[in-house]
Amino acid sequence: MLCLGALCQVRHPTPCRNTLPAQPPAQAQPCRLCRPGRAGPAACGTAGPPGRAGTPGSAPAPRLGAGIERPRPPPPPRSPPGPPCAALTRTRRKAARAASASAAAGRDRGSDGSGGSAIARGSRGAPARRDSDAEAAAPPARCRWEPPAPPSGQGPAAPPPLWPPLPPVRPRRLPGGQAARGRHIRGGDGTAMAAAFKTVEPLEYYRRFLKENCRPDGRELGEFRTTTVNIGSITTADGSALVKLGNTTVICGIKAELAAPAVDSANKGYIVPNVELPSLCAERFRSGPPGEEAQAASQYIADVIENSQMIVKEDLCIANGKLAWVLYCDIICLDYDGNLLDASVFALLAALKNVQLPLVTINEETGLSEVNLKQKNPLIIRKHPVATSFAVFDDTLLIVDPTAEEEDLATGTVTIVTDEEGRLCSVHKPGGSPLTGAKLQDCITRAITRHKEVKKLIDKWLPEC
Amino acid sequence: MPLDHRRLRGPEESQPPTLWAAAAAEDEEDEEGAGAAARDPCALRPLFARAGLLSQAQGSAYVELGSGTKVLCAAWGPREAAEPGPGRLICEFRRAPFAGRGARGRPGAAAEREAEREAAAALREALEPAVRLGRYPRARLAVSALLLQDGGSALAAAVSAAALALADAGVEMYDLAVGCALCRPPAPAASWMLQPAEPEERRAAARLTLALLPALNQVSAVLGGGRGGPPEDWAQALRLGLDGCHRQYPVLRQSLLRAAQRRRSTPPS
Repeated sequence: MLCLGALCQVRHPTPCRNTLPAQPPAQAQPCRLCRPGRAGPAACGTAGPPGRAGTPGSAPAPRLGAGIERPRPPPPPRSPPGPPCAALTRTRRKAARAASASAAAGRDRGSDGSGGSAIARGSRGAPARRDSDAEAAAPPARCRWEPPAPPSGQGPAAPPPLWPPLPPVRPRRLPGGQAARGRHIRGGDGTAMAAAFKTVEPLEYYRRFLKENCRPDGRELGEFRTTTVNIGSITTADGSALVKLGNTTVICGIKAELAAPAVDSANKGYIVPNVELPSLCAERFRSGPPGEEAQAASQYIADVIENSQMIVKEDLCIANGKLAWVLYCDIICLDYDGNLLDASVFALLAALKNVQLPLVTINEETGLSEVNLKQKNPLIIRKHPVATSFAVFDDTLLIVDPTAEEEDLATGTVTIVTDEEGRLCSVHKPGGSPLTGAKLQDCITRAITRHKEVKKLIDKWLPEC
Repeated sequence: MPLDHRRLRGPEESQPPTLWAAAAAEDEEDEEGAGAAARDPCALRPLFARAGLLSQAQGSAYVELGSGTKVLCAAWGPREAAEPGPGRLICEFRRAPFAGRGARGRPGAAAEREAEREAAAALREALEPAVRLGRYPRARLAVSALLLQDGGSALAAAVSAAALALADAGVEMYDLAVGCALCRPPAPAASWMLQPAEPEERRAAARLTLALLPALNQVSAVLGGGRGGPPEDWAQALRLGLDGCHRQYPVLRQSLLRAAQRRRSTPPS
């Protein structure tokens, strides 16, 4: 009953960092636990509850930050008794997984736009882990401010935050009735500041992440978003597939009809792909006839089919000069979050593998065709091309599978199509910043790896072809 | 026929293979017809509704009926409009080319565009009473529906999906508009049937689509026509349709609630 199951998965949440990976401070700032003006570590005792006298001379530990009502004993230092930044050695991926944005106030739904990944789901499903990470990350007893490990709510590990981390907050009911599940409740300035920075200087915001070799949604530069495929859901079409690449959702439906072949190519059928970007997929597309981007995408898909010899037109011919199949491949984008071409090529491939054509014979005596709807055969698909798209940033950096925001900020795009033998079918580089040969070679290597990933997905769900 | 330069064209004419398999297909359809007569005319097919699934639209909804009708709808608003006056609701209805059972719909053809415009007008008529347009002066609210598969009762499903999408987008509304379709088979003493499947709809003598605001118990649109019979029959059909709408209402409300809970529980972006 839930035929379009993949469509109905919740759109991938964007575990975007609302806090910036900021630069390291020019000088060691006094940590919040000490009063300003006090010298060194000796002055600050254990970060104990207020009122408990620590070492003599220590200032009464001030309030540990907004929202902490109960004084808590200092968390046991997990890191070895070296500098508190031992937790920096933790991998960035773990930090990204442990991260969740800070205050929920002012959350803008989907405004960050970048596709989520399994990391987001992992972080949502393990709040306990996040707490323990944060606990270990809080500087145990040192007062001299050194770059500590980022607690939950922060982005990549290496650049320390502008403000020292607060000890973890136990989930408690906020006045609004929401449960703060292990989220840090900061004073709201950090989130608002980061969001404002992102609006005012989006390129600079991205550059900060790219410098650390990661992206705001936690992916590495060479990592794809979660790919899901749902095959055969549209029963009125002869073959259909719905592909979700992060938030980008594309559905391809194939209708097969009969026609007389063209006069000059009497033994060839037709394949007619058409990409449609309706107004519901993104706000910038208007309703009406297909715009520039849709037309360019349609032509590109037609070229890919031709260059890769995915379907040989001679296979579609039933009777030379009299009857041939026409495959109308309609690719409709339902949700546009970047990387349309990859998703379209994959959807087309999956839908073609799903097509079942009835057997058509031409009666010798009457000359009429007879269609046997009971007996159906799949299409002969010779090659399985898979597209991989890259975005070029600042003429130097290549990132794979760009989201809509990243595409807007990029200075160029490259799309590479490879087939299962590791051969190159098409390289599409419509202008943009120039690339060196070595970089292009890297792209091709990554595309070949991506092909293997996609092939595994296809073989799992469409084993017969 | 003017050439559509913006789309890749295939051959000038092509026919679906079902035309050539006509003889076998007719026998099957007669069997189907006999089977359908045994169907309970008041039975509602299972309805699946989900709100809040697209990332780029402000509000979105997906409705699927048991007969296979799949409608996806997105809503935006309010956006600034140039003309003064109360807010306007702009609706759009599109059919995917692979949605119909027979030949592939030609997207650029005049007949298709005409049908889409009629359906969009019907959608607007059904939704306008439900939306508090007075709260959005000089603003434009946009709703765009896409029919992915037509299994009968497509317009009714589109009305429900559009209302859900508008509610999901946070537009102020008086109530959700729930759509329900009915049809009457050509047999002389046949009774009206709720939510026909596509073959039943094709063979029907009269069709009716209703849109109701259930909590206010007000009908926002009645569309249809055909050889129905005496006026009492039509009144009885209306009552049946209203009852069907009331029964679908809890499912739609539940889907909105779930979407709101999901939005609250996912980590903020």
